[in-house]
Amino acid sequence: MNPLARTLVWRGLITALYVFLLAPIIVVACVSFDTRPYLDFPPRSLSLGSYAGVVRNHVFFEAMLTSMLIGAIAATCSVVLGTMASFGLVRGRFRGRAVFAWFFLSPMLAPHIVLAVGLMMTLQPLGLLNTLSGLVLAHIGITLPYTVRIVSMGLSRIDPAWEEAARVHGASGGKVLWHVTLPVLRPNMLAAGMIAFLISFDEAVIALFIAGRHATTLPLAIYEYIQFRTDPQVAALSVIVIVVSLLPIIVIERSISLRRAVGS
Amino acid sequence: MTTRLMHRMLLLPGLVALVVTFCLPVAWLLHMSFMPEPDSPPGHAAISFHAYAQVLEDGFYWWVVWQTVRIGLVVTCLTVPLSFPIALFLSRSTSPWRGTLAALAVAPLLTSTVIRTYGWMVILGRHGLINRTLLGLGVLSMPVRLDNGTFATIVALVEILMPYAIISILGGMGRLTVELEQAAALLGAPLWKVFMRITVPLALPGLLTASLLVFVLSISSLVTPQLMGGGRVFVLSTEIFSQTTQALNWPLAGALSTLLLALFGSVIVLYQRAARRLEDPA
Amino acid sequence: MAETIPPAADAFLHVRDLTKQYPGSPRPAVDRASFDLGKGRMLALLGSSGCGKTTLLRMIAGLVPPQGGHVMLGGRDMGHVPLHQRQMGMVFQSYALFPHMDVARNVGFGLEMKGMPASQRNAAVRRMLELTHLENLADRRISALSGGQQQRVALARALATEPALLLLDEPLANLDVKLREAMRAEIRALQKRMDVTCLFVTHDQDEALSTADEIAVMSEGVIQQIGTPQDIYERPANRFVAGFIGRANFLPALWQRPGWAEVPELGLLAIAEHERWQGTRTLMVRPHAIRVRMGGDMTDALRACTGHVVDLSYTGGRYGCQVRVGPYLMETELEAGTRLPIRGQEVQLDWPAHRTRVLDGTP
Repeated sequence: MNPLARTLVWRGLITALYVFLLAPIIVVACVSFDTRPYLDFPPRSLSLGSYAGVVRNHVFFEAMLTSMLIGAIAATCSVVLGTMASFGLVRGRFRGRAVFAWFFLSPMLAPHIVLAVGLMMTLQPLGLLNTLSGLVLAHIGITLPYTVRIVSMGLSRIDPAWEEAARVHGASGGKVLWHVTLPVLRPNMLAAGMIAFLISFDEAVIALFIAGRHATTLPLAIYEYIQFRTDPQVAALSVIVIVVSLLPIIVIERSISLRRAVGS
Repeated sequence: MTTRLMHRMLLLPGLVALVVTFCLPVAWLLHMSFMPEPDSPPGHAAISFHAYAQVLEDGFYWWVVWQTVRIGLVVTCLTVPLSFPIALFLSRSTSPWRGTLAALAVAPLLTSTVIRTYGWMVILGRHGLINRTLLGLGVLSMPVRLDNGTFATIVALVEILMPYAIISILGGMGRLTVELEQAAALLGAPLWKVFMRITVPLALPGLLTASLLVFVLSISSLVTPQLMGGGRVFVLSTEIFSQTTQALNWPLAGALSTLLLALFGSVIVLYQRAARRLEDPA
Repeated sequence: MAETIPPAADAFLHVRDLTKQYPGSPRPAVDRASFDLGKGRMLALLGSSGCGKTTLLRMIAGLVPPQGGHVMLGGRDMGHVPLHQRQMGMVFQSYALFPHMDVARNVGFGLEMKGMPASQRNAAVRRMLELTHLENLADRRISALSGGQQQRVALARALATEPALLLLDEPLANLDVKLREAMRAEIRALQKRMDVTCLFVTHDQDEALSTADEIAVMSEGVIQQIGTPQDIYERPANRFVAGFIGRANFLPALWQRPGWAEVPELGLLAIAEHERWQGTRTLMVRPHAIRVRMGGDMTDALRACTGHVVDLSYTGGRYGCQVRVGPYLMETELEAGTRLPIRGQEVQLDWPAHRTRVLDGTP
């Protein structure tokens, strides 16, 4: 094969794989502008009718608010707890530190379905099943490994000389933390918060087990809707969800890069 | 020393959160799997192996485990080779769009699985993209059922898990430099030989990690087999789900979850052995 | 050191017996270091890597707690003064500029920590930026600066609070040669202009010799000698200092009689020393002190040694000339433009008695 043909084949392969990778998102976006009440592709005429439908749909609207609320609370708690733990894990010089570090990351490896069943069985006797608090608690648990990892990554890259320089030039311990360490760590804390929010916002498996009529998250609402009906309204909702997710994704990419945030 | 104590105190809130949301549920799940049948009289026996006996005796559950492993293997064997070209492309691209393309490959990871599964329902559905196209071209005279089944589940899982594979392969590709390939080519190796003898062996750690991750995620996925399977795909996760929420047989759900955990554990052990052998071939 | 320097009346910085031994290390990183430094003076801590110079600097800064000894600054014992109240300025080897702040905020950091109101602070920062020629970079991010610019910002930050003591930890190590020489002069000028007492750590003897008022040579955690650059160079206290600073020739010597020493297999050499010693000691003579003569004028035969040129190498402006004299290989220097010997040619070497230094120990 001559080099030109080789390049073309290679480019074609990459393009095809990208199309496959992005196909469901593209298709959902196209369908969301359709006017017909049933699912079909490609759309015959375009309108924003489905979007209007979503806005009028109370179930979706409430689920969206619930998901955002849970995501925001869980992400905030996760970042606070994760940052504290990171300081202990990275700065601490006590025995068993490696074991603790491993323990903090281990839930990343646990299958969500098993966690979900366990959480259901644990939260039920506590009366936290089908409540916001239960969901927040569960989401803190699944996001904590990510926040610990991302904040630790930033913390271990801090040049000790920065803090020494601050102290020599007149900053007390608290001021060093406030004026130097935390600001330097901010991109990582921000990315950690965004990742935590996205994980919580997109999480469906645990919600399937522990959420219910009183606390329905958006992925759950979509799940339940598409089990029985597949009309363009849910496509419009999906597009809205993707757009909402886009902002945190951009923030993460800008602060520490997406690959480093989710990568191994 | 006080700072040492302080550092340990900093771990405490996170530890409490993890114990409540991770250790306790897993422990409780194990405990529950040793409970007697739900309809047996209360206080009958403290510990019962009934649920496990049920799993082992019923041929159906053996079949479910086999289905789970089979789908996991097929998905892994498709996802990793399909992700490798993208990872290769991203690792050596010098285009100014590289950052954007990398983000584009990873971003689907952060969009909801439910939504992406829904997208595949639209594509593979009775009136979906593929059927419409094939009908329009006259290839088919009647729509075929592509959704609701193992095929649809596998297609959707491959796409959903590709970003994970891409990231893992990229992460393991540190040593793979273009210079090495060019050196091999300069020494007269044909392209396919360069690929098989240089590119693949150097990328092997990343490929191995990607395989582990994809397999593990696919055998524990619930949403996709549930929605794409249309009630006709039986894997461990869907079985756990129906035992928990519909049959309300929690001991059985516990036993099946334990089985899934054991499967997880053994795969991870296998992976670690393979990774160690890869690092130290002697 | 056994003979501690007598405490000078005008000393501004007293350091006495500072000692630090890191756990698991067989010998102290710094062993009873003592010195005094007058106000406005600049002392270079000179030594190769691992000699303890940075640890000594960090103990004085308060970044490393000493195991013994004390530091007094302007008559105040620093032992119980918390790090952030010691009123010091420091330039770190990596500069340690805060990456999340622009140049002006970096420079103003110390003043901000002191609680100086913003308007006053801005004026002070502007003055510092002018002094360090950074006026145009005030709102740049640190990552957008060159190495030399970062160096200046670090210096401006350290000096902005008008510290009692300025500490520099290998401040020029990360710069290229040309820039290093320019910055050397600039640091010196700024230090004199602001009349700040200064301590800097370096492994570069040229830097120490050309910049500092005084030099402390360190080795294996011990200060070997403190003195002016001339002292250190011309009158090294021991074999280590003589070998560490500049190039030198060493010859073993036995006492012969006042004014004369005997070098085995070479003969008698005139020395300025008149006191008797026992056993073998070392004679040191700098290459540039040695006169190289060609052609048999042997009038001063007693002090001259005859040898053969082994190697001749151009070192920019002058030649290094190795001469084998008996069993010894002597380093000498020849000005460019003078008549040069060729390899293997016989030459006579001689030098004035007062340029020979007698040191303890064998070569």
